[in-house]
Amino acid sequence: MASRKNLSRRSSDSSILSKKRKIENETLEDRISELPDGFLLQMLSHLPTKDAVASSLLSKSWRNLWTPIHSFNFSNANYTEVRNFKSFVDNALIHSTSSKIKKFVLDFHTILWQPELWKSDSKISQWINFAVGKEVQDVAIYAQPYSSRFSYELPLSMYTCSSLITLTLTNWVFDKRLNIAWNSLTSLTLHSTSLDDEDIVKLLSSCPALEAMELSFCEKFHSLKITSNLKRQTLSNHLLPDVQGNEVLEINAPHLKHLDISGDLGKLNVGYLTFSDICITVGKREAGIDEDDCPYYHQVIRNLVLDYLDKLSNVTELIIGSWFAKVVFMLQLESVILPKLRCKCLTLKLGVSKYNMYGIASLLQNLPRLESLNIHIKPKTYNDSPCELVQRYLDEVNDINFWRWIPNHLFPNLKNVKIVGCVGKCMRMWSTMGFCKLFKLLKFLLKNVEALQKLVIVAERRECDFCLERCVPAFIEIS
Amino acid sequence: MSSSTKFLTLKTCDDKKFVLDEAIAVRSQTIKNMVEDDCVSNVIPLPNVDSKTMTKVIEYWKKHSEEGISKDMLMDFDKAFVKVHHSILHALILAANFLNDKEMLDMMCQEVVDRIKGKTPEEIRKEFDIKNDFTPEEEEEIRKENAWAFE
Repeated sequence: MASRKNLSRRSSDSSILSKKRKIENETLEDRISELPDGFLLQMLSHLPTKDAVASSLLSKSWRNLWTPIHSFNFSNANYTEVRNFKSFVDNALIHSTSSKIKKFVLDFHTILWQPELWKSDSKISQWINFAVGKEVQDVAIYAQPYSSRFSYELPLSMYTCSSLITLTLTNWVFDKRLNIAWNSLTSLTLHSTSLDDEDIVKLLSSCPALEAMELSFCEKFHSLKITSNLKRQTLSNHLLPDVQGNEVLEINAPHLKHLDISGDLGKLNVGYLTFSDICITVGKREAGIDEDDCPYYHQVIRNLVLDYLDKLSNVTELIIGSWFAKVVFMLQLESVILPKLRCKCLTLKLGVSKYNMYGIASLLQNLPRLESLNIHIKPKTYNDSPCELVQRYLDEVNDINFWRWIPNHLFPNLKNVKIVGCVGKCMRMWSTMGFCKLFKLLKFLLKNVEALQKLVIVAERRECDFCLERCVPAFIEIS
Repeated sequence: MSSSTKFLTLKTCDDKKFVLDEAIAVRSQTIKNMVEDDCVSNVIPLPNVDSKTMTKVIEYWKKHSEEGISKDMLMDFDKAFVKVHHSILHALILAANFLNDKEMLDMMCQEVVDRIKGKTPEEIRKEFDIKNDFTPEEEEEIRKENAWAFE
């Protein structure tokens, strides 16, 4: 018996020893190089091309491994001389053995070089022609997105590139005379490109398969008529020519499924909102809104909201922000009858304030088909404090009678409610940030839902600028 | 929907058995196909995956199937999950490929990419224990030949 015990101990000792040896061997073994070439090629294709080419120095088996990479990502960061950058791209493309190119990215960090690269010997045109010749699918040209100091035209081959699936361009010049045929393009992103109404129509008719379009800092156009199959439209920082504010951007898109609009309204913290608040706040951005102007702004936004609701009656997913909610609240108090929307999924990005919560409650009554409600709480700022006008409305109601006064409406289809806590502000301060208002809204919701399946409250845990910890709201415990 | 949870038994190449909720196991397209084609008897053999690797895979699957888990929490989990020795990374890539879990495969490959990005050849060799089998002369020649790449 005893001897058997010893034996077994000895054998287990030796197995531990052999395991140890095995681990040591494992750590010294180069396993990555043993991966099938297909994997390694895939990985090299995902690297900045400079790193992919540099891998040829690793060992003999890596020597020529990079040459069939299918994607190129060129960035002029870290180059001190334009000559070296040009020579690198030229040579990388000459040595490339792939018959097709999937992705082609040109990322210009140093804006100073751009005129030289584009104009003098049109190097960039040659590179793009090369990619087009290899049936490139995804092209992105980043050229300092928010600078209008430089713009460029693309080589002609690019305009009839039928393999193109996604395209991202910054500072591109749209030329009206061109015949564009991007027949396979499904996603188009344009930054800082000037387009008038005619251009938009032409562009959309040139991309029959387009599903998603994102325009940011794209000036000029007033009208966005989308009759194609476009499903997702993102607009940010749209600049209308007349900053004085009589112009309105009109969107007509009966088949659109997702609409995301945001403006460069940083100081106002308006967030996601309507179509023309950009034009009424440009130039006032720094100063904020004067109390005197407030009724005027509200009137403009109010008209837009009414207009907006009417036009979006067929849209199924909406993302809206604080001013919108505020205006809806005021309309509710005036007993204005709002149109019913078909929206199934509503995402709200706003701060917690009384009028916002009232606004949500008012809005919800017009969304009988709503299935999902997401509330993203944004950090509270001074702009959330009600202006005189809103205060006048607020004075008319107080908490108790508002929740009672609002018609007892049922939400027959509401299944999911999700509340995501804000980032950027200290979560420990949540409880002092008026969250009782949010809970009142929740209480109101819970009383009136029939089909609720899920209520999720997420406290996003990110490093907090304030307490430098991954803080959580005082009233939520996370295991 | 599922009134009764169905369990599958997975058997790794070193004969270890893992009993797993079917709803979780079908994150593997390979297993999903087998289940859908009704070719699952009692035990699903995984001849290309060892138990040590499978334990990691299941840890990943379970976390990613947790209900109500936030994106941030998953991101934190993923970040910690990929911080493993390259030999385990290698095993996980092959396992994810065999199991046909694209999400996991992409994540592991991305980790290799991230470990290469912006490093010098010497640093990369050290990271992955890659043996430099060039003679100093050969290496110099490559550098010369491809001077355009190293400027």
